[in-house]
Amino acid sequence: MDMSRIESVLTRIEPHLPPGAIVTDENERKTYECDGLAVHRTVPALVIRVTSTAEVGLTVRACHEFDVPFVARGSGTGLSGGAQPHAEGVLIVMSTMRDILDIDPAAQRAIVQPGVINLNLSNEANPDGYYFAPDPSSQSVCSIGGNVAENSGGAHCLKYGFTTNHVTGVTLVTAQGDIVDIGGQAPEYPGFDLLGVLCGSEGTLGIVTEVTVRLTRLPEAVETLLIGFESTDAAGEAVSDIISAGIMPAAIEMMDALAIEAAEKAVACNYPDGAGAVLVVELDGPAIDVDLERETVIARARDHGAGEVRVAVDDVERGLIWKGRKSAFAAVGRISPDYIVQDGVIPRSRLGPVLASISTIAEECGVRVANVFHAGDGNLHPLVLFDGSIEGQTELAETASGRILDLCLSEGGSITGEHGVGSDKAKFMPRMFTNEDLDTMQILRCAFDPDYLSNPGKVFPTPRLCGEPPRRTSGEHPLQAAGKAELF
Amino acid sequence: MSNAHRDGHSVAVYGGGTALDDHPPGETPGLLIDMSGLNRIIEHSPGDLILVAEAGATIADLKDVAESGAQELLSDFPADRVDSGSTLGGAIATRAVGPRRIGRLPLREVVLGVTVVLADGTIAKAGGKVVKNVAGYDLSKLMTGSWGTLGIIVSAAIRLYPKPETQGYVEIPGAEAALGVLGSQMAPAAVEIDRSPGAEATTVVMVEGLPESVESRTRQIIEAYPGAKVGIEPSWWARRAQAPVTIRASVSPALVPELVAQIARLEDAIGYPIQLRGSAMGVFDLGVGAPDMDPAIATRVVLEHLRTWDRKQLIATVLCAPPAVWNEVDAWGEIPGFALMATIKDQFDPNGLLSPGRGIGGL
Amino acid sequence: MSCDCGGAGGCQGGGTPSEATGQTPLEATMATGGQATMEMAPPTMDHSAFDVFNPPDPSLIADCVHCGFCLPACPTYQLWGNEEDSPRGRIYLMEKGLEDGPMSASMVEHFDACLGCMACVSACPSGVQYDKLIEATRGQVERNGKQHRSRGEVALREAIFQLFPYPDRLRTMLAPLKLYQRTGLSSVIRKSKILEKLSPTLATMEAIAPPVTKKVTIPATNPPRTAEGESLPVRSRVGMLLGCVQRTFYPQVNAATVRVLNMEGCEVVVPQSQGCCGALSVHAGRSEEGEDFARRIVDTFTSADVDYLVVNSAGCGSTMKEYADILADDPAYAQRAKELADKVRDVTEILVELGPSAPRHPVARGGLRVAYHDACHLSHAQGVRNPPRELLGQIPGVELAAIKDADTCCGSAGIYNLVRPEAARELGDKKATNIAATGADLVVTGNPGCLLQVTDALRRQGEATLPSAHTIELLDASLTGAGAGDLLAG
Repeated sequence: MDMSRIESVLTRIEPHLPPGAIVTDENERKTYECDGLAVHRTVPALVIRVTSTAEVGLTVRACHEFDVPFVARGSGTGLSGGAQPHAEGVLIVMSTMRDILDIDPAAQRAIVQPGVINLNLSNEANPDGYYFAPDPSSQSVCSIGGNVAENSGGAHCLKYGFTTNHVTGVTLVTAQGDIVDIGGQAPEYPGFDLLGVLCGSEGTLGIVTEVTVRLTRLPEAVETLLIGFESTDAAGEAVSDIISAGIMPAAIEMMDALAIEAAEKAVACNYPDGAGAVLVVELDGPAIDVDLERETVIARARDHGAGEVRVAVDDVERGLIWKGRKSAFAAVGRISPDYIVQDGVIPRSRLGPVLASISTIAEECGVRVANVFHAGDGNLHPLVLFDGSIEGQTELAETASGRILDLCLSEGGSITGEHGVGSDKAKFMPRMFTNEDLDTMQILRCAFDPDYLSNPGKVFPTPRLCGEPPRRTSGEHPLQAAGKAELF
Repeated sequence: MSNAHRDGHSVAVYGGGTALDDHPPGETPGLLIDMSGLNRIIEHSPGDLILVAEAGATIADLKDVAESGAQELLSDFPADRVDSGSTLGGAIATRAVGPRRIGRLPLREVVLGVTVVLADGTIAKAGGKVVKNVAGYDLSKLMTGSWGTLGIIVSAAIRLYPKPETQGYVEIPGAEAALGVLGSQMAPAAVEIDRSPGAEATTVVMVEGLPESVESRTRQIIEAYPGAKVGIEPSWWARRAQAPVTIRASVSPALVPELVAQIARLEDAIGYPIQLRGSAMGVFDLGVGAPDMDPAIATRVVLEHLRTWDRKQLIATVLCAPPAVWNEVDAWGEIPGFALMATIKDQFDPNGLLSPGRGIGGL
Repeated sequence: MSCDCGGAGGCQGGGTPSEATGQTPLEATMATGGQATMEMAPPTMDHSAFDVFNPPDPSLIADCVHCGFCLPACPTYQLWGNEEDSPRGRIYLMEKGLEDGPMSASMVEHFDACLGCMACVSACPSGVQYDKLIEATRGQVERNGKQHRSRGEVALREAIFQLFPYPDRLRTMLAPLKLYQRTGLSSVIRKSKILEKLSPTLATMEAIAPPVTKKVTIPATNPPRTAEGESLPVRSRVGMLLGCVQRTFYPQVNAATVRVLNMEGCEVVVPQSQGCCGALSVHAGRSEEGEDFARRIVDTFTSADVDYLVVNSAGCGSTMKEYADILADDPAYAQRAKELADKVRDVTEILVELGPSAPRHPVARGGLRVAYHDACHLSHAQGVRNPPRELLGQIPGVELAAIKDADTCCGSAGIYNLVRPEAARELGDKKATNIAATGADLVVTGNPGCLLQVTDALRRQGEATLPSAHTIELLDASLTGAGAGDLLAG
């Protein structure tokens, strides 16, 4: 490995950084080798912990000068390997840049540094009657910067939209190290939707170092219901019915029997015994609407054979109902040594047939699959359970995962609803998009990062040489030859 | 488009022709593409709350299709544009939005995916037809509001919404109440402020939903604000005010009352009529001048004044003006991120064929 | 120290069999019943940073799915935002240490920075037993990583462990400390580096400790009786641990504990010869030392023949409940250790288990707003959260105030506030701010270390007027009818 370029970067930035910002110790660097997806690991050549936009600009400028790739990392909870470092690159750690700079309830805005933890922002805004709406299950630890990079959703995005909908401005350090202000506090800015493009760009278009977010008024009333059903089919039909009754719940989540078992073991959430599936339904808004909607939801659920219907009486009970759902991923660690979590999307009306197909795939591959998902928008999280220590199981699990994603695509869905593509699903992109589609998206990359230094190797399996028209590539791609990319 | 690219012809796109007067006229195109024939409904799935249609389909037709499933389009569109035949592609390309934007998701979230034709004729799709999708870059957001300068939208998937049973309106004199309503827990669907030249501003709140809920919430709003009373949909609702020049101003919600007050004072100071109409969330159209007056100087003065505010709090650009005025005023001012936008335009359309001069900043 | 077979590993890390005895070093060590001493220099496993004695268990490490939910719960992550100083990062370093030695300075730094508060154990959805992992790792650092600690710190730790587990020595320090503090001797002695670190905290301890002259004797047997002194039938015969810091600096807490137990019908047996329970040693990774202390306690209390062993110090109770694990490898003690461990109860636990019988009197006219601070070794380590709250709620007129970020450590953490004073100070300040924000009249807690730390932090913030006490003292004030006057006077 050629370390001379890394050393040049280090020499350039060291005089301007405080002690403790630079991490070279091998053991310490190793703790950063993966995010929440531990199966993809790479030890970074150098780790820089930043606390200001200026420090980020300085580091990226140096990387640009010496042609060194860089990767930004928030809290390291991503599930697609988006923060997986580059072996010959710099990992820029943003979790130390974590101040809430301003909360302005009258303007319904907050200005935060990217390392601020999602839930902490909501907690700080609560006393003024506001919160930050995007609520991924990892919100107690994931960062706002990470939410921007992945365009995170969460259980409540059905009604409230994704992170893009809650960002009105950012400060961006471009891949060349320039500092650009985009947007601000006003709700709309003229021109191309740069914010819309940056949110969800997974760190490949530069690094965001400050975010102006839109805060949402806390609803007058919130009702959380836990409803047990005999089967996922029954629960799925109840969901369709609820939506066609004209109700837009704040969230509808479903878990199947296996997922319930895991959650029960982990957090003792006391979900209905013996249920084939549970729905967690949350309604929020003016009290009178919530009251009316609750009755409709219960009635429709009973139409489909709902067993127990539990309505949370206070915040504590509400928290416990959600705890089961939000711990589901990590909880399956208690019923299985290993697992792969998928993130496919299907049209919601196809839920029943798709779950049946997943069952079949699981049987054929000889693995178990627990299902947790956002029933309201068709975003599935099949958890493929396996034991990596048994020979062949890992391959079977990966085969099952791949087949599930193909299934989602064949239904007209997506390979990722909220976890992002990262390094984990880049190889599936050609199954969802044609070469022309992928090349077109990469035109954007050429506008932001023609030198391919900002989180390279993520999202797209084949990088595009900037300046060439979209076309099928043949032979070895020049970036492959330069050692910057790998063809899947 | 491939042919135009080969022969070096610039291209303009015609949907319903309802936004021709907005944005500078741009260069005379070599080729005009009429999209009205591309108007099929490709897929309608009420159960999944999505509608996929070709770009030439009119919004009016799409509304009818949605109604057949007891639903409506998730985004609100301006009534005057819809009445004049606005098409799906045009509405998306010009980011046309109606008053119900407080409770609803913005247009960029409503468009789930687009198929576009690029400057060299490549057909590419971005996004999809499912509500949740973060695979790849969100090019459908890039295309939304791009005024045809990055690609030609040929089809789009949009979200539908259960049609609310009924609406209720509350009229409140002045603009101060708007902030309170916006920050209340009444979950209004729209909060519009209208101020005719020389007159007091009026705030109109709209709530929608089940009859009991609408009745209860309108009552609560009336009780909270002195002078408030039950209203009906105003004649100006979802329609743009007529004036020679329209300035689009976007401002932080906290500063809305201040903006309204300043416009009134400015009007007095320069002796020119300025109409203000828009959403209390902070997006307003300012109509400058009257039919028999030359609006150029007044426009310049208003723009200069608005640009004394911090760009992070308020930004103002010219939306609509007579052709001569475009050259006489600084229509765009300093647009945050403009350099990046110019680079993007350059990458997507290196030969400058797509609607040259129609875009923001003259792109 | 690794074996020099060059990784052929045929011995499976136990070392090359001795030609004389035929045993591998590992076997030889284990044959002594785990009574190896430092002089025997335990063999490290091949290519590992750890030796063969209780290395962090790979199967426990494998439970970690890297989700990161532990990060916001961890006080050091809250302070610094660094992955290396989070439970996830520390587990990672353990895993790295298992694969690839030697133990590095960075490993030692981050292991030592861990408070051992176990908030991560409460937060982890996968059930990772971080408590077992860090305990094993601390022992490893003691044996294989000390060379990476500064000489000053090594000396400081030695001094601490020459002092704190020995109540007699603690008591003799009190008088000279008072002298040292009040006559200005401190400025002379401050030139010495060790005392520089010792002195601020010891000065605090001295400043808040009750006057040495007040002698409190606790007899060996204490029959149950009412507040008025009338005899009561025996509901249970319980032993009580006096503790080291507790009996020296808070003897009135022990007295109050005995009184309350008496008033609730318990005969309290207090073996006079009892020593340290070993908690500080066990938590610091000084495993042999801790095991020795544990054995003495097992001997002392087994012969006392009690139904329960009541503890009024969270740190001590938590370790004593682990005696079965700690002495599992000692055949002479394993069985008795388990039997005793099963009898251990925090004083609040046993009172709730037995059920209230003595009448509760109001403790202040007009009521009292009380903030209850969860000691980590009571809430996270023992899972005891409700019993103290239930007991406080039984006192008429007491209004319980919830402390924000209750699950975050106050920074006391055993000897942490002595060896990592800056970090401990920051955590103490946050805790003091949160306590003061409750508007409480009194803050109570169930651990002497916390009490010291919190009182000191409140004083530093100018909140000296907010009095602090042990939970049992307030209960005592209610059962005796004496009221909280003395406690509130500070």
